Amino acid sequence: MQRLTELQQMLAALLILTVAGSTVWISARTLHRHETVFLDNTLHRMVKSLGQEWAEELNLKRAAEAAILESAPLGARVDILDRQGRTLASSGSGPGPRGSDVREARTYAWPGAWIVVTISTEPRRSALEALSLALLVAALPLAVAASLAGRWLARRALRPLSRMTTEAERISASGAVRPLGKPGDPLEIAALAASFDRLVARLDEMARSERHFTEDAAHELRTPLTVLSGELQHARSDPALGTRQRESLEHAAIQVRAMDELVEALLFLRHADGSREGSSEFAPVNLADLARDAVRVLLLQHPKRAADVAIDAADEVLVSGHPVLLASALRNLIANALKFTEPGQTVRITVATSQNVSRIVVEDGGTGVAPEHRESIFQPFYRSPEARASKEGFGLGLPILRRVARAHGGEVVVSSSMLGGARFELTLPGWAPSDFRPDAGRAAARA
Amino acid sequence: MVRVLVVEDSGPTRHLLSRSLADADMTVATAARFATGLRQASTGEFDVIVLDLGLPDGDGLELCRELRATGIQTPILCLTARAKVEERVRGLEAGADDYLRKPFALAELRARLRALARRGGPTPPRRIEAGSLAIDFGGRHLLQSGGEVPLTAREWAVLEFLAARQGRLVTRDELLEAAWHEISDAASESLDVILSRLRRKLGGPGGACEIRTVRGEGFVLEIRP
Repeated sequence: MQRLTELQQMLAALLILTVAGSTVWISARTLHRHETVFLDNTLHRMVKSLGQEWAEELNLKRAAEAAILESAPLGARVDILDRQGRTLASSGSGPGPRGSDVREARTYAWPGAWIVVTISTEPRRSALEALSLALLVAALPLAVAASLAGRWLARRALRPLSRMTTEAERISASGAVRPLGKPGDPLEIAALAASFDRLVARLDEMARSERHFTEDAAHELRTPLTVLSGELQHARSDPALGTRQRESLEHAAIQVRAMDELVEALLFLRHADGSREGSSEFAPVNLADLARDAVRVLLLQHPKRAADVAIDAADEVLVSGHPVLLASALRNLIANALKFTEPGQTVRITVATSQNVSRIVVEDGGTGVAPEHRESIFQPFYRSPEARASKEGFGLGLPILRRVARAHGGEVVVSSSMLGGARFELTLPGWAPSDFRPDAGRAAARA
Repeated sequence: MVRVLVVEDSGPTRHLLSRSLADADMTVATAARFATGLRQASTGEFDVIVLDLGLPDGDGLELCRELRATGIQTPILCLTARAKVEERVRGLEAGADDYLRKPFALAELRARLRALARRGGPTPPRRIEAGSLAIDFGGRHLLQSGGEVPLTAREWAVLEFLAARQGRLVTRDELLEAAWHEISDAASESLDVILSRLRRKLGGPGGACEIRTVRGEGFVLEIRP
């Protein structure tokens, strides 16, 4: 956009300067040709005149003087020299003009004399100088004016485009679709705007129907999940149940919860993608409590690992977030560490906050994640060789975990731990008072 | 015997609720539609109502409003697919008393229903203002001298339970059942941690709002204006 207007401006200036320059050049050439013609004509006339005078006088010197008197034109100096170069006659006094600002033409004429015509180039030079000056005085302001006008015109022509750019960026940021074109746009621009509007409308429709589908599917899934989870709980409450049946019911219940969390993530990310609506379910969440609860629940399932798990958490590490999804994220990170370590290998969980950034580190003494897999494990549908070799998938996968973290304004990364294995680090912005002032705020101010 | 009315359109959910609540010694009646739900609830024969907000033939919140408008004060627990704060506030404004996100733990549902049925009428305060403290239970905001103090869901559960019985003794087991839905050593340990945090957030000892320990018996929320 900036370049186009500048180009336009430069072109206008260049055009004016080219016209001025070529005017000077053409004038110089024309004047030079006129000089040449004048010199040729003068020589021709002098040769003819000398021949006639000699026929009358039969004395070369006298004939030369007569010829000059008779035929030498004004504005030029004519010298007639004998064969040895001695001056026989001259139209000017003193030595002839010499140097850079003269032109000279000579010819040998019957009956044996040199005719030399010299003219000054001074008139031509001063004419050109005057012309150049005139052009400079006229063209420079013209060039400036034209370039400014060009810039203005280009700006004006491009204004609908820059408005469309701003509008398109606003649409990308907010997701609210508004037409790019405006009545009164130039035809070419209006056509472009109309095409873009159709494209945007089509994309918006696709995104909208996908969002609706996701929401419908999630809500439809929720009812059977409620029944499934309730029936499993109900079945487990039967005191006559054997240990093996109870265990398999428990496994089923864990999977149902994992599915519920996936549905929750689906609904949450649907919002987090398009608008900020997803954050309306945000509440203060204490990550330290979540980590302690997760460890307690996981150790009930893996009692043999109790000695391997160490947790170092502050009393309160607050973030503003989705309680269900953050609990799921923590549980999955810890469950993952337990899954990829053998009994006897340490799993260490650290929950801390510094400079209003909350940080959960889950590291272990297992085999770790090879550097070449560290980004891929967050890609959808990727399963590392270790993961493929091991047990079933569980709960929120790492790609969803990362999207949930980012929707909270945070991030999750993996590196290698001092303990020898993997080190997962989840960072989230710490809790901050909301900008929203509730009714209670006004009540307190009154009180 | 606690008498429960379940208004829920999904057959399997209704079936599950009636069996599991009956197992917990409650008498259960069910309704699948807005109209039948409203008719049954209007009899005033129930101690507590479980109401699914997603009814096919009417808005569940409208049912709350109509019941309250006719003077029926039976406590209502809403079941909802989403746990948004605005939805909670709208529900409380329409006259609902409690909220539970689907899918829920049966133990939690039973504990909350018992708590609602026992209360049998007096609703917990919507708002407490004492000294520099302002607590808005609907929108879940706690303000100390105008500045927002963050409380987690569990901290709210404990505070709400105590506030509904302010000035009265609440036993440890009652609090555990209300906020943890289990009486275990781990939950009891968490309760101690949460009580100490709550005391700090309410402004410490000697403040306008204080959770006092009654040794060997339980806790009392005391509010001094």
